[in-house]
Amino acid sequence: MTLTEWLGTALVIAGVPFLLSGTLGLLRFPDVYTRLHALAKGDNVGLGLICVGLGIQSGSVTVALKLLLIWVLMLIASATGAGLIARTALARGLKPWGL
Amino acid sequence: MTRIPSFIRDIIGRTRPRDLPGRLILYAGLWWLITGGDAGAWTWGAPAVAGAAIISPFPGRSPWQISIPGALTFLPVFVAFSLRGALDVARRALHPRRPLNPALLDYPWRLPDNGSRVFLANLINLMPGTLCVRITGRAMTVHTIGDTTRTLSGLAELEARTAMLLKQPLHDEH
Repeated sequence: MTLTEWLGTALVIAGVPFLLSGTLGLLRFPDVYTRLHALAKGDNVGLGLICVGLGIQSGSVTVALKLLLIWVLMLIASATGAGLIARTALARGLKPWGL
Repeated sequence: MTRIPSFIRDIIGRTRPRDLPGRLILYAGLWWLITGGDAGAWTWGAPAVAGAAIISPFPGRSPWQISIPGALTFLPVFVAFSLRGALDVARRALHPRRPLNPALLDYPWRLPDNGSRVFLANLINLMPGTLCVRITGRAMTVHTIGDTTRTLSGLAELEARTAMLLKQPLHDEH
């Protein structure tokens, strides 16, 4: 394997625990707000590392840019989705756990 | 003959000819990127790009602009905060006692009401320990799960970086 392949693989592998911990938070955390914390933060970095890793492995600028675009679009969707769910939950009177 | 819905006619009515070249270049670039430069894909791409440029809900003149020096200082902060946020939430999820210290904070706006507030409210959902749960004309309410003092200083930093990125002034109203 070449250096770029090693680097790409390392970044992809580094991204997986973040996605896993986000899912673990979704299962373990007590209410909708804390679960959204776990998902939004974990997926941001997890998918980011996987996209950068795959982009480096591909060796193609257009593929790397496309993966970057996918990550940015996912960030916008994830941040907006988390915000909409959280604001709707509070507006409907769902009390945060522990308060 | 099918009628064009009135909201689409309104959007087309707001599109000015001088907005079109920039949109066409941007959307054609996105299509080229998504299809990986496949020439055959333009059969669908050209009408899609033209349609999207004409029926675009975004205002032609945005009240904010992206500053290049602002973006260069914003990006490293975004990456560092993202990593810190993901590590922080991973630690809480993996810890046997699942440490969470929830609180609701009101954070008064200092950014003007022109879309830059929505940018900040969405941004903090990806940042360490913060989730925007309410937006009012005066403030945003933030749900936090960690140390409140540290969260507030992080919010102030992100607000300042956002103001630089979007070339917006910060007002002190509290």
